[in-house]
Amino acid sequence: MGTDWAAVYEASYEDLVRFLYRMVWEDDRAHDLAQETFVRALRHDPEQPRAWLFSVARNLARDEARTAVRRRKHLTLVRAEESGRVAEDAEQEMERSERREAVRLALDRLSERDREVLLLWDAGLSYDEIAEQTGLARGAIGTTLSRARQRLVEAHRMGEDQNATYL
Amino acid sequence: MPHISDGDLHAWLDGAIPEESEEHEALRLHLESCSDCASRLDAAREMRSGADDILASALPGGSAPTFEEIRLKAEDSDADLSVTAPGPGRLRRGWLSAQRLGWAATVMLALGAGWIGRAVLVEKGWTDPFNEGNPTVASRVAETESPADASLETFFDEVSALEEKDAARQREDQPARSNADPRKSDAEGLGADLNADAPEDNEVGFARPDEDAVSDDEAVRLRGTGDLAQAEEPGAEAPAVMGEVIAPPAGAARQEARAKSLQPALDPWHAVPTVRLVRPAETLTGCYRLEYSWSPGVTYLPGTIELTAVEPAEWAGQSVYTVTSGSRAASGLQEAIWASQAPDSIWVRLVSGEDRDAFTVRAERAGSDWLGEARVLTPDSPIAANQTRGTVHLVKIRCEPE
Repeated sequence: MGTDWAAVYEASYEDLVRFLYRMVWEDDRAHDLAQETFVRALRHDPEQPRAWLFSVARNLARDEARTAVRRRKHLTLVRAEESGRVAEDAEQEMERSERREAVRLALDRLSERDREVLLLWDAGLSYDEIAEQTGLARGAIGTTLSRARQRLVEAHRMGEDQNATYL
Repeated sequence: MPHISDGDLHAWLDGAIPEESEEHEALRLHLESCSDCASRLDAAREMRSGADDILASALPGGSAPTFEEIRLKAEDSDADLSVTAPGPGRLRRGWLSAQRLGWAATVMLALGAGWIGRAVLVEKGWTDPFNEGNPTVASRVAETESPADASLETFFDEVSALEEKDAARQREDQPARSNADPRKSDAEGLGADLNADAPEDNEVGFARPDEDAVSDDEAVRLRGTGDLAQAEEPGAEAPAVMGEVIAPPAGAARQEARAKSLQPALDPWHAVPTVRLVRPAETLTGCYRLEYSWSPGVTYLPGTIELTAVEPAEWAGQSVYTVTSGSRAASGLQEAIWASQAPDSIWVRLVSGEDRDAFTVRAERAGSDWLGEARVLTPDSPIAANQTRGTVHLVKIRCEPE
């Protein structure tokens, strides 16, 4: 095979991490899984690199989800080496954590299929690639995305309204 | 032409309908002539943009490794695979790896057998001719600074066995000690520092791998935060929260020894105030007052730690915990929490905060429900931001009813 894996890596790594992050919700874990995916890809040298990468990544993320701890609200994990920076970092991390939590909760309101299609699209896959990944007909991708986007926006708005009520 | 479906509108916006196709042309003509579909297209565009914005607000952090690093990883994993299943092109490398592993296994077996045999001899009274002043296994184990380096399960077995012996000996001694100092068994003794009698090596503070590597400004010494498992006085009042002290799970001593060996390398916050909760399921049931005394000495922070255990018997033997901050009621609350990877411990760090009333940390094991919970109340003095010098004392108190 003549795949230029360096170019594939350059073009796909960030997309893959973004996709995985929305599945596992941990920076480090998303990077670990993305790297594991690429390591496997280099060993197997598949014919359709990008499709193969996302297929393996989906499976790894699903395995991860089966064994992972259920994440709780307000999870704050901060690792900082410099004590002087920690307070500021912690505040930023808290804000980031809240945003992430709001997105996670909104995505949780979607069906698994809708969520996957939306995340695959967000990771840069085309309708054809999403259809191949998910087994959906190509003509159904637009409908699925339409539904997924609507539910995401509504669920996110609902979460914001609830937070506003508590405040 | 009937109205355009939502799916087609989104496909249109996503550029998924090829411009040269008949379908694209038909949709374009319809959108020009149908105001309903044109306004629905606007709504779909807005929704699409909104969804993109939502997803963009949760982006991963971290940086990507270089492709070269990934390539080397893949090569390493190739080498590992070749040991068990050498392909035609990997035979030599696989054979070499297998040969090296064989030698390594032989050496490890020899070392392990020697260690065990030596331990048996020492137990039977044999004196090490190279170190006559240090004749017992226990003292040798105690002097081993990096048990993890030994990488031998036998080491931890030895530790467990010795600790069990020590525990049995302590149990025999306990009644006499309890009678000798009844004040120590009173859970209400607010001034009783639990660690007054704790041996130095049981101090729980944070382990600092290299004292010289931390500047004086950063340095924090935690005194008197002894291992509460060791410090629990015999005859103490039964913990009010759980009602009973749970016996250590099998292998807990080994896990603790392993955890102790791992802490210095794993705790990046060794230079800041930290309260270590040692196996809370079995040791920290009850209520403790947390006293901070900062060394410039301007801030004094009273507080309370309450701990409950949910699955006490399942604490040991796991390696992944998360720590969750619970209460967000206080304004300006800022705390940073770091969950140790070490099996039996949680490290909690207070960073700063004003008007802080309370927060809760919980330990969670992978694939399980809550295992323990520590509630830290700081009703009076806030911790000044970035305070990094001070001492911490844990004092057992009587649990107050809710």
